[in-house]
Amino acid sequence: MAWLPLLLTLLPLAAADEGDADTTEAEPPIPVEPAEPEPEPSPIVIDLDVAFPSALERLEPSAEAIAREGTPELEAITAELPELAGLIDGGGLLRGRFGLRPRLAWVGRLTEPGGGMRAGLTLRHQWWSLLPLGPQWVGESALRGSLGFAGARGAEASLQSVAGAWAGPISIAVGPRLAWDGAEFSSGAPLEPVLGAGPLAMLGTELGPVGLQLGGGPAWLLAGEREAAGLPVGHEWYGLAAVGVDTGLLRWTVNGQVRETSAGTITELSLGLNLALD
Amino acid sequence: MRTLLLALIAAASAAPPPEVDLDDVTGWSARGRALLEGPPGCWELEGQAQVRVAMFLPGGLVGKPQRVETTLAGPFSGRLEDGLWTRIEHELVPVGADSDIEVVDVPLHPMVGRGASQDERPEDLADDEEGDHGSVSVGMSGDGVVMGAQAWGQAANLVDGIIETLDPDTVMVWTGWDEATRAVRVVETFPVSERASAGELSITSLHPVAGGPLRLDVGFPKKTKLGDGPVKVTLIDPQLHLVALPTEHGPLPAAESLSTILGVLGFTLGYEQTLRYGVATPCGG
Repeated sequence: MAWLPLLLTLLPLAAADEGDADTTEAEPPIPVEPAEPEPEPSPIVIDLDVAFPSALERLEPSAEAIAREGTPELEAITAELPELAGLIDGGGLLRGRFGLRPRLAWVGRLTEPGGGMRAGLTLRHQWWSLLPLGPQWVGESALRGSLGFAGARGAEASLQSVAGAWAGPISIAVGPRLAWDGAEFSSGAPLEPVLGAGPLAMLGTELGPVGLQLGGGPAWLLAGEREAAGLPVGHEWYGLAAVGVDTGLLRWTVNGQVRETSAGTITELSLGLNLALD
Repeated sequence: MRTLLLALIAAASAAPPPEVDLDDVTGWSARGRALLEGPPGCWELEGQAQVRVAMFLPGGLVGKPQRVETTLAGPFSGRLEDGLWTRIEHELVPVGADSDIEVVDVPLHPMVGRGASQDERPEDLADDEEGDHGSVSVGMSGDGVVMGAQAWGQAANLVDGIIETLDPDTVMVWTGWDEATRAVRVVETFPVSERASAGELSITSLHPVAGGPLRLDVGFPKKTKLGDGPVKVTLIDPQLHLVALPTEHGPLPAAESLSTILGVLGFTLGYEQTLRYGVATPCGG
């Protein structure tokens, strides 16, 4: 009886076929009821309030610091100190960049004729913190070397590294400086080559597009035949001043450096033009 | 991809319910990845998007380091067809006070789903001049910073695209029972570089057995340097987060966030994108 289910399945189909044949001639077609429209899919409302951590959080002021806004800044600075511990651990709150730039300067004595030119390179590394509150830590290391020409002979090289912070509109930075230099000019006493070292303090400010920088410090002669200048502190004195002006994509800088030495006051002046890509 | 070594580990500090099979590591891993694919079928999704861009200008002894920031927010909508975004639109407008950053164009990069690849690009996008690549441009104008970004064409979802870029040699997957959330925790780790010290990328997904939101978090090492040449890109604390709702149609994305800080050539750029899905409608609805 294995054929019985198959037969039962086919019987209705056969009956339907016969019925169709009958209705085509004898009965009018049965109107087809329109199909029920498919129910429209209903929107699903997603209502979930969830907060996510963010990479930018580490650069936000801490909630405690925000709550203390208006209190003496020293407190805010102190509150941020624990976060500063994370600066060095690769946490990413410090950023830095290297720069290499050519250097061209006039060197000589302002009160005497006979100056000359120096040309060289400065390799510089700057770093700064991204912390939005408290002091904004900055630092700069520079290795510089140049040779004299056009009236000046000799060479100079220096390595300095300072670190400090911006507190409001003022930056203060201190660090060591090591310098070797010597020069002969077309007239006047030569500057005997010596190696000197000493501390350097720098003060900076920013007034809109104009940046000012002043710095200086004593130097002690470590090697060489130049005599001490007879100053109250150290054997010589080193000073610098710089003015930078941003004009759109260009930044103009004028740098001046002085050395109080036993051979007189040696001045170096340079004019810089940088693309201000930052 | 090079030969991939796969290590599967099941561990439980507390006993999970008997119906939970922690030994099915690949199955739990697949459930986690399914969150990134989105629900099966065709869906119209809409919600609110927010993009924050923070630009950190280099500082020094003469110039103070500066931070400029802008936030854009607005509605977004898109069509997700079997995990493929065939349309995604947004109307982001700046929020709050005037910003120094003028954002030219910022595309959205959902964690869920894949962008249309060149082959899969829908007809109506064929003439799209956005191109089939991604780029971010940042520049200075006299008034501030101008930022633009455009991207289209990743065939993989965002996370898989990142893993493909890293091309890891090994992946380690382990499952565990999280008693506090009553959920199965699945963790996949990939080395981000051949250097052991470079750290790992981790994908952690959480699957509550009693229902409730599903969660997937992608974490990177705190600092990752990319590039072999003299110019390297530093990614600082990049992270991606996703929460999905389990439904009869599959996991529906509820909210997601991606953020990173990017450093290159002295520029530091912070980027955060948050998408909050509000309504999911099957196509034709």
